[in-house]
Amino acid sequence: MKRGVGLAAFDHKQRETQKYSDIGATLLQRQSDNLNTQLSVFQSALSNFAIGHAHEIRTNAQFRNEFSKMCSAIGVDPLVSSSNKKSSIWASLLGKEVNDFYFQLAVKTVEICQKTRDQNGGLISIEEVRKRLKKSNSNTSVNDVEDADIERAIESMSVLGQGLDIVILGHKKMIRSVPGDLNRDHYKVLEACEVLGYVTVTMLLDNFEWESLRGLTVLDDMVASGLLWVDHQADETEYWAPSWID
Amino acid sequence: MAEAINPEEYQFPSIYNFPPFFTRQINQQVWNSQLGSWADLITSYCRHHRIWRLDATNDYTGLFENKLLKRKVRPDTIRDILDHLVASGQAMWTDPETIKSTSAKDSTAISSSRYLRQPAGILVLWQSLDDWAAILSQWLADTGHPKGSVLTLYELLEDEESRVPALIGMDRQLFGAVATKLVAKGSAVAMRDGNGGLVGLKTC
Repeated sequence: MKRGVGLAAFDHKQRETQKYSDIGATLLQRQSDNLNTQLSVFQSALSNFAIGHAHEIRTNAQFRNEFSKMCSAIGVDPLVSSSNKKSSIWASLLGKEVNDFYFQLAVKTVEICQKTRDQNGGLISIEEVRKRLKKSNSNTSVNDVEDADIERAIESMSVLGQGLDIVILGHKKMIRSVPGDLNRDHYKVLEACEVLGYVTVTMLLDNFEWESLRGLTVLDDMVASGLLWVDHQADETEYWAPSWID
Repeated sequence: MAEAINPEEYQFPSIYNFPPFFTRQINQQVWNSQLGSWADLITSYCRHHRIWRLDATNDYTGLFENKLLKRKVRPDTIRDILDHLVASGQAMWTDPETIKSTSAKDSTAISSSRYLRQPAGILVLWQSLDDWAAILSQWLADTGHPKGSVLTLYELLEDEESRVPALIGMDRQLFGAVATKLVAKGSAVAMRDGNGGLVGLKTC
């Protein structure tokens, strides 16, 4: 027997669709509840872990690093504030202290960048920052840091704008604190400097096939902006990267 | 001149091995930081070796030449560095009067303007005049010299029995400036010879 071909059939169909979507919604709801429970269980486990090990996270650089890696592996960025909360996960899990750790580290890093800017033209290796942090030593809370901590501290400040960023030269990570018009030629020269500490016009000609005028223009430009130091007492004028001072 | 020889070798800052450190940098900020590094180096080097004077007669103790790197600072740049030390209160000119007269005399022989800007000498204040004056008054107080005691320069700076340990071998001109500070504070009176040269202090 054929079922209703009248107008009522439309109603029926609509009811059916409604039911399906209701079931769908319930399923989704259940799944999402499940996930939420899992997530909150997980979060509280993470939280317990973090609280239980707060001291180690604060004082042990290697431990802190592993914890960070764990967080990022599961897609939690402990430093970035989540949209519905005022404070970051570091802050909410560990109290203010660990969050403050990175904040302090960021402030110290900025201070070092500013203090050395005249000497290095606003480009300093993370390694150098770490060494200087260790030397200054006055503040014990940012004593034992690894390069990754500094990197994290800088990334945490990216919300503040374009003031600081990390650039890679050869195999070295550098912090750049000058609002950048570093072009590709500048980078090439700085990378070339990583080998001997300096370059000459001839070296640029030999390695990059830059004609003398181009090489000289780039180098003069970089000397004028403080990115390179010039040595007129060599056989051929040498252009040195200030990162080689230390 | 260095009587108390420091047994430990002076540790040069790493920038001393950076060849461009001996060439004046063009960028003004870089040059300022270079000046600062030179000032730090000179004061710490002189403190380490208890050197009071830097001038042409001791070839500026060879500090402006790095023989290993075969680099040296040009005389006019040396002059700029000394100017900076004096302007920032880290040094005093040695006897400004004689600078004028020698440059006037020599200018007939060599007319190059660079030569005229030939650096003069400085007294390096690796301790400020006020600090030296404070050290001296403290010593006077600690050693309990009664009011009106007369102390000759020899007694204060040389005599092993009576000298002030912190001031051993101090340059006389520098000591004169320290004494002036003390006199200004009213804790001593300067005693002078017929030509007005300082010969000692009387406590008060």
